[in-house]
Amino acid sequence: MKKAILLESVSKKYEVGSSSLEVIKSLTFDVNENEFVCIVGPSGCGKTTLLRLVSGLEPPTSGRILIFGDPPDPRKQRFGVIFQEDSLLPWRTVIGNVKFGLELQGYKESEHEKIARTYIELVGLQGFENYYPHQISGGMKKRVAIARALAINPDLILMDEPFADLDAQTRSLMQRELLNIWSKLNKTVLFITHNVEEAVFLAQRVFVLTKRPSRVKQIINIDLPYPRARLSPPFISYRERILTAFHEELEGI
Amino acid sequence: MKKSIIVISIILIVALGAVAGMYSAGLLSPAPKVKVRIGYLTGDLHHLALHIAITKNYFAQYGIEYELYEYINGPTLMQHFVVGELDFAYVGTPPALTARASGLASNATYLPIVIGSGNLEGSALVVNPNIIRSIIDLNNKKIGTPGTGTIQDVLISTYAKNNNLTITKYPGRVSDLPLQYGRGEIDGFIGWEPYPSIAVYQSNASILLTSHDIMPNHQCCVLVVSDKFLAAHPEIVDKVIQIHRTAIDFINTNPAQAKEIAMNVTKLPAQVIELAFSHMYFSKSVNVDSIREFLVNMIRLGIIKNVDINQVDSFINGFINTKYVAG
Amino acid sequence: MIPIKKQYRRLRSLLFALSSVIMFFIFWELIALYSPSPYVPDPYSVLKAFITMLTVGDIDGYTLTWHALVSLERVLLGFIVGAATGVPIGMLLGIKPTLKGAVTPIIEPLRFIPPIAWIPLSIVLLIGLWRYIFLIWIGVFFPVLLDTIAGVKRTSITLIQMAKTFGADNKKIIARVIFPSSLPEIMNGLRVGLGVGWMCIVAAEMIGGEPVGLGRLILKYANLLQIDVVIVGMITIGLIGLTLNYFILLLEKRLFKWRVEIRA
Repeated sequence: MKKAILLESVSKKYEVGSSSLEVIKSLTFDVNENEFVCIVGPSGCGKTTLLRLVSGLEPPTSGRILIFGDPPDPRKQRFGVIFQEDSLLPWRTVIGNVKFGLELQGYKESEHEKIARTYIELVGLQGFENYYPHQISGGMKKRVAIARALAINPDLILMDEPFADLDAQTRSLMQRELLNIWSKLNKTVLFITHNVEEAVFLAQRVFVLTKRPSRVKQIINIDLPYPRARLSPPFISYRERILTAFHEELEGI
Repeated sequence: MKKSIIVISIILIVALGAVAGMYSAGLLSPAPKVKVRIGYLTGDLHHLALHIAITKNYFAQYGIEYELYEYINGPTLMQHFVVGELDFAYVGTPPALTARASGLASNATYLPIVIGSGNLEGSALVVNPNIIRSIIDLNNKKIGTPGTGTIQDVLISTYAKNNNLTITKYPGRVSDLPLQYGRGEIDGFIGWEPYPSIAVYQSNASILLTSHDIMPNHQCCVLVVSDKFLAAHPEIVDKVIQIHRTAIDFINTNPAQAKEIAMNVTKLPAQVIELAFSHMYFSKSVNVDSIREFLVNMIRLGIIKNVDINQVDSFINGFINTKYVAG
Repeated sequence: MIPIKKQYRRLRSLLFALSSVIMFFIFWELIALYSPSPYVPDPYSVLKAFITMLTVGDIDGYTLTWHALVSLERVLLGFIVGAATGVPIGMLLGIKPTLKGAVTPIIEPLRFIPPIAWIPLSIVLLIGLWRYIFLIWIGVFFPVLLDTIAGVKRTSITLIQMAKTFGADNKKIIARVIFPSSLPEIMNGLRVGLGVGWMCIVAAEMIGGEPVGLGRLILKYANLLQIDVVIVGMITIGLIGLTLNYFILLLEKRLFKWRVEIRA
């Protein structure tokens, strides 16, 4: 079976003036289909760069990336990307935003309305279809972004610290709903975070990255059934293991 | 401490005020010499007398200091005249009439009084000979003028009215008119000399009408003085009139030299100046009848509104100073 | 229903506005009354002149409405050309910073040359309507250009990346993200540009050419020393400028509901 995501000694260098900055160095990992993987690492370690490479926004300097066997290209594959920042188009209503991906992916116009409403319902925003982004809360905006990403029936869901800006309560609510949706839809999820607890709560496997230039420091399988209790001893022990690895990296900075 | 500062500053202010007051009352300095301010129009050969007087140093000979102010047309000059920015002006009769009529009601205005004749005739209507061959062809054509209320505007409007012609007037800067004509923006224009002659030589325009054809022997430009200046400095006015008349005499007795001065002033070739001169007459006497006719026509055209047609004679009597100008 | 307090506040501000207008006219009347100059007409004679200009027309027979329409036509044509060049060029320069860097040494000094300064050159180079269009274009182009560039630059990078992850090509990113995102700035530039253009037309019409246009009307009557009509022309220019601005503001309000509406 082809891996959903496969990275083979991927490196990324940026030329900054005369010097070059190596953000990622011979990074190798893979993600199985329908798997939920979290990537944690110290800030500035190139997590966002990694996401840009996987979604095909930028090519790697060396090595290769395969998405179901093909190099990433948003025009050929379907990526549902959810950003940390607000990525809603402020001039479009909730439903207009959800339709945006459908328009760009070339869905038939007659289908837009029905598909959009289905996913708005899935994220629990029915009744808010005609609201503009500035009229809804931060959590609701994230739901719209998720609905928009899911509406195109993506091959891969890529999330870049999507809940970092939310308050603690909303964040944990969103985490639970994300797991619900994931179990319903059976999608492959690559979720980037610097919040270790979030990673343990969500992921089947957690990849800990080193500081820049990033490599995989450790891969940890979380063998806990969903839904997970955050205060259960095994949860805490997983969290401690990852935190230890994480802190080794932080101290090096 | 504070008190003394206040006292000192009050004393200072009072002292300064006193000095300023004495100065303005003329106690501290000898009566300043009057510098007469003379207005004239851009490139207008009708004002040749002024240029002769300047070139020949007549002003210095009569001990008159002067400053010159140039305007794009007569109405614009008169706007500055009526509020007291000028003492004398070489200007067309109609703008002077308009200005006098508009300001009669008030003591605050500076009213023009005619004290000399600049020239007779001196304007021409030049047209594109391919488009306009006869008077009747003027109908619905675009004819440039130096601006609403100028003598050329009044002449062409009167002519159109008397001959039942509809003309679209294109008012503009007189110096732009030959250019606009050359590019076909207008079908012809009426302007003061030398601009019609320029169009004849530069752009093959042909003269359809001279102002002689429209109104024979008409008064064109006049030398005016403001009523207030005349009342305050009659002796200076006397001298300026003598300068002006000397200059007019010079033009008529030394036409060749006059033309040379005209060429120097306008930087134009001899042939243009020659043609322009054939349309102008420099006379010392004012054609009062034609001034009266202008006034009547301007009332009829609606240019002058606050003078009744039966007040024309008394208006003209006030307008022309017979002490200086023989009727 | 509007709350009573709000109604009261509205009424009060209306009364203030009204009283300042009345004060203005009283002030004007007093100046006219006590000024020794015959060239300060009072409001009533201006009103009379206004009616005459509307019904009878000016000394050449053109009515005030005609003058206003001709001026408006010139401004709107210049405005359309200004918008049709300023917006696409602004988008292009906003998207391509290197190109913008290359043309900045030309654009920056040019934009400080006011349209009025171009008049002599435009007389030599252009004829009739084209001259007006050019002068208005100068007035409209630079505000529109600069605001469009600013709008493009203010477009969120996240939105562009988001569109890219959905497979949008450059054309679609420009049409569906950058353009709508820049539209508030673009509209602002258009509004400023129209205002500048409207102010330029008056000066351009005073230079010469066709006998119609509000600028020409003012000059005609300044030459005839009939200041009441001059003021009629000034007031008409002010009112039309105000109306144009109001319509664009109204359009902005409609277009940018997503911006101004208060949280429901």
